Amino acid sequence: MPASLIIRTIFILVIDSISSHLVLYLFLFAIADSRIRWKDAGRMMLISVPLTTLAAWFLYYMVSIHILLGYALSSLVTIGLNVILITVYLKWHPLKSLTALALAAAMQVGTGAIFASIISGVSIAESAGLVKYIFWMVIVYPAVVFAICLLLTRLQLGRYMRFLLSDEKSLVFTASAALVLEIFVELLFTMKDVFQANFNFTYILSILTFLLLILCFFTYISAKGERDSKIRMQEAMLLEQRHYMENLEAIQKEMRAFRHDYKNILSGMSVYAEEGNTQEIKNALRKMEADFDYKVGENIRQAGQLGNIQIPELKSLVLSKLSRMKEKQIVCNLEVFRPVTEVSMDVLDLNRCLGILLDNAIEAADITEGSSVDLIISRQEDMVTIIVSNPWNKELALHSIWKEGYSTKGEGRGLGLPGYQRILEKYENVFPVTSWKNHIFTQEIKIMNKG
Amino acid sequence: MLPVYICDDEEKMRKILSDEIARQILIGGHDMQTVLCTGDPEELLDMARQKQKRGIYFLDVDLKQKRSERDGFWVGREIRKFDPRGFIIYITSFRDLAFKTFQYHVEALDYIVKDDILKMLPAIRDCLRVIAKRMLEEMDAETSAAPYFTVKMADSLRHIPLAEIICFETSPRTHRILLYTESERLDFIGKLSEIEEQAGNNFIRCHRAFLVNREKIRSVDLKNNEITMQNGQICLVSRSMKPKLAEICRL
Repeated sequence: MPASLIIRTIFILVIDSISSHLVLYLFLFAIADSRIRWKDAGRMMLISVPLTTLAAWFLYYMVSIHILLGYALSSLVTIGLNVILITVYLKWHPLKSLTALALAAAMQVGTGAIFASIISGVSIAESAGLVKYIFWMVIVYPAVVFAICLLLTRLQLGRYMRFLLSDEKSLVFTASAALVLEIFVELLFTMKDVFQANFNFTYILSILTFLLLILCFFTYISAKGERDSKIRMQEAMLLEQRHYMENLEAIQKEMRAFRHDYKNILSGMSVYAEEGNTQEIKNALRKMEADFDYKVGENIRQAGQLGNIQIPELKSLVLSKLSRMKEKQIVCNLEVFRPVTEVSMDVLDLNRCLGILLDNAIEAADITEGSSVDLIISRQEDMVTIIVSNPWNKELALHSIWKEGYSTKGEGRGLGLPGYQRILEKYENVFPVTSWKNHIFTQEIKIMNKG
Repeated sequence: MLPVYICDDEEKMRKILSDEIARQILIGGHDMQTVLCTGDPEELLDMARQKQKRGIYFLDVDLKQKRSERDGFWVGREIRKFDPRGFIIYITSFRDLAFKTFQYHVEALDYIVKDDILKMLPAIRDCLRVIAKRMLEEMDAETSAAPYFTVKMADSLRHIPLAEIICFETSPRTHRILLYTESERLDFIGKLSEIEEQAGNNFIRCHRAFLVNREKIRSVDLKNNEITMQNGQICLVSRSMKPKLAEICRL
């Protein structure tokens, strides 16, 4: 092939690549319920565009391969490469990257097919001039997709997909389903080339319908999965409440045993009193009091404080963390001085955040000698404050614990604090405070009452 | 002379408290005097407000008031409004113990459990001793009125001495600022430009997103446009601020 043709071909491949990458990433962020991270997208494109263009060039023009096969292979390369890039740059779970990318690719290919159809139908083809081509592919097409993504975000598509993209159990199934779907859509697209369908109205309509069906299908699965997950959570809560009742019954039992014991001790003391033996009386009193506090007193006190948490989901969470601490023999000082009946924040979000803080505190207390965790829930007139604190005397950098992957527990395990921050970002009435003073690490959440 | 106020709705408890406190003041030779022993918190607040003097307050947590919200905790918060440095000691039954809550919201000094009289009396003695010691320590130490920065979070105010602040950073959240000291990180609503005016000359706005305390800078790396602070944190420098920063470093 003459040099000018080679250059022009490569140039068109690059334009196509830039255009489709732009659109791909736009759909990706919309599906994953994330804001558009331009910088990261730019970095990924810098790597992906040249590599995929080279792959496409190689597959189509250097190796005489059947066009369908070449197309499939080049798509595979693009998807594989971008899954790696997304996992590295956006730091998503690989399966989540794969699923979201496959769905985004399906959308991209579908809309691309429609757009290409329209362009060729309105005679603005490659031959009509490079500038016009660039204009339509790199500016108009992505702009239209941007508008579509805005609409999808308005419709809260990301929120529905969020469950599907994060539930580990279904992720493998979802990833495979998304991949199959994507391949299917690619086949449809290439059929256009094979069957020379230009500006075929039926063709466009069928693609649109198909895309809508895909979206509805996945949204349905996601919503159903979320509902199932909620049911499971409610069952877990019922289990927790049963534990709570069992705890209360255990306290009752101990009280009865204690009453039996102290009656004996009292009768012994009256003998001492007759003898005038005050020292023995003092000893007996001290022992009785110590026994009580040790066996029953603290349990009663804690049960009382727990009773002040009058938000069922929150009580459930606190109960489950308390029992975990009991298993690990970590003392927990729970204080809920006033009844807490509501909080100006989604309870599930609060549970997730408090869960993260408590998990961190428990892990820290586990490896610190003779340690304890304080959990204070304080209701004030205008706000609710939650404080989790534990002693910590090893290394800690207050500004770094919020970064992904930072851990004081060893390689590869984060503190969950980036997720914690992401959740709190939604609430303008919530103020977190972190401190590490006198070897006590404290995390506070202040939730101002709204309305 | 520190005035001592006692507030408990049980007369028997009031007697025990005032007797033991008087005894300990005598034995310890403390410069204190009981000025009020009542079951009515309003009476305590009226008198204390009038006196306008730092005091010692023994408060029953479980005051049976007509308005159930007005318990000992509420009294403590009212006291804090006019006596921020007074000493508050809570009398509580073990059942109602929530000391860390009191410490956090009211800066209570200590608590005394009233279930066991044998333990109460030495506890009272220890409290008074600690207070006497603190008063001595404060007289020795310099009490300079250091300039501070006020942070409003939800409905509470925190005053952080400017000298302790390492830097301010804009949070990814809109209108949110992160404040870092050696031992804390706070997240509040604010604008860096307004804070820049308030914070004074010791703070340099080295970047759109950073306002750093020049006294807390450990090192400057102009090649990579970074400042490393004393706690290891890295703050960015914008290109336009580089020359100014270089000049400041030379000083």
